[in-house]
Amino acid sequence: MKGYTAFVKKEWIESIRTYRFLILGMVFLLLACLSPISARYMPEIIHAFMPSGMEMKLADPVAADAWLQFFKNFSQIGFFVTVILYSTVMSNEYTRGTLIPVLAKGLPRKYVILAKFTCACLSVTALYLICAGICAAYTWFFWGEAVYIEGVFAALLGMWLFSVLLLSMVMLGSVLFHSSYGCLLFTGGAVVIQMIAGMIPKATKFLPVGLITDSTEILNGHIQTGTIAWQMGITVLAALLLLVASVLVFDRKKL
Amino acid sequence: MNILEAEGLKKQFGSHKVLEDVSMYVPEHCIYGFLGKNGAGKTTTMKMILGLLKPDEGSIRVMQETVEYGETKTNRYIGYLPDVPEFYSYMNAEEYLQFCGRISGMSGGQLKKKIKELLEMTGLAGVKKRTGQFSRGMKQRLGIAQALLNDPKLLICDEPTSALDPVGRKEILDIMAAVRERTTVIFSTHVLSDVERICDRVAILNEGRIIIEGELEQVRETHGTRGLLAEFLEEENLVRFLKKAGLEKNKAEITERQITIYEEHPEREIMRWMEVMQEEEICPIRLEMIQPSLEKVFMEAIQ
Repeated sequence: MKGYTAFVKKEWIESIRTYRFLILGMVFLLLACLSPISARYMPEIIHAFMPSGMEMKLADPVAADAWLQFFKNFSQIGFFVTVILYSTVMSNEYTRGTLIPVLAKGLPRKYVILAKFTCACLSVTALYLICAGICAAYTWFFWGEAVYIEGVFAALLGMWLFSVLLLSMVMLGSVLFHSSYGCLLFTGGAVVIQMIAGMIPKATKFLPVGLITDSTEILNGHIQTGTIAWQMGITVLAALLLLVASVLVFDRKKL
Repeated sequence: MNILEAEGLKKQFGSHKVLEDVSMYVPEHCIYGFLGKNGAGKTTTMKMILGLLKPDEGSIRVMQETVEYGETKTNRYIGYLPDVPEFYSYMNAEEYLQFCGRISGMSGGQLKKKIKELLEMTGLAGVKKRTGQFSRGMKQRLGIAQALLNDPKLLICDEPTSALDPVGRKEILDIMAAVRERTTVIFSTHVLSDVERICDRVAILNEGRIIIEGELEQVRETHGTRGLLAEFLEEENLVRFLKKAGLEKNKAEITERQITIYEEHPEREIMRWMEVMQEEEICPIRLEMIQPSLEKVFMEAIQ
């Protein structure tokens, strides 16, 4: 267990000193601040750019719009940046051979995977919570008391679970392929396949990707609780399976 | 007791056979030179000992415990210095050793003391810059420090001196010689002078097989062609001797006043030389039978 905690600490130092945490934090914070601001001022912005004499009727923005922007931005830009930043989590170790002396010291291989996953999850979770708090604070600032929207917690939880699933996909991609491109293709492919499968109406209920593509419906309470529960359950199960698979594949990987 | 026993190791990468049948036995407290050309399979063998590569056939035991691929239990006895040691570039030497120590289960005062001792031994004490800015020699020294951190019974060094300048090479060899009382060292190399300098035992790996193995002196005695050396006071004597003895210049190593020849039957040849010298009344200032150099043994073995 000492080896595991030592490796988690090393991962943390790495994410600080290689600026991974800083870049992720800045992107996340930017998205968190921009979402409510853009929702609040979108009608004014559109109005300013309209050609003179042209009129467009836009509904007044509401608090839900801030959260809609938040989920849209995180599911697209936020997670994209996350996957890119963590895609090198193993490939850097392979190409530079830095794991060899460490494993030669008797550190069980599974600790490498688990420690990297732990550190990635904790970093993303901490930043995500801060960002959700910032979005909530801005929403309160702009719209007063109308902060609470029925589905916001379910949507936040769903998106967080999906981010954990993404990180477990990144882990398996990184142990399957030597290069970070392989890992990116694997993770991107897994998401795209889910999106394609989502075209089959009956399959939607069982696809984790629904947690981010349907966040508007979740937020508005238009999706049945049963469907969300299924999606969340499958996401947790899939993340666990991917993690176990990563450990098993890495145990047999030639270094 | 043998600290390492490897039997019948075979390994093939695709259609390329790297190891055909490698067996080696390394006794305690020796410095074991593992020789071979580039690509002979030295690194492959070492990675198998560390459980980082799986042998197609054969078994390895370290301290009488079987090495299992993917498992790293036996590695608690081993310190490993890779051929090009790479460290996390954002850490300094002390931070890296602390990280390695914790992985090995060390902590607190014991770890601090050990790190201080190793940094001093490797000349890295007080170096605050991060390992990303280290020179090759500094990396090798940090590599040895991390390998010795958990007081290993077996220190495996993969070509530790190959890419170093003479000063760096001397430093590494001195460190290895200094730790021999505490640990057994296996080091692979193709720098034969390094082996002659510090090794007790050698093994020569060629085309996937160990073709020569044993104590350095014994290997020199039993393998490789021995030689004859004669030295004269004046060059003129040497010229006369060469002529009368009928020695061909192209088969001998000749310097100003000295001749060296490698012969399959040096005893017979030295008697003939003495007869010629007596007949011609040429008195050498030195006449001796010489052991073949390790280089000669190596070159003959791999031909």
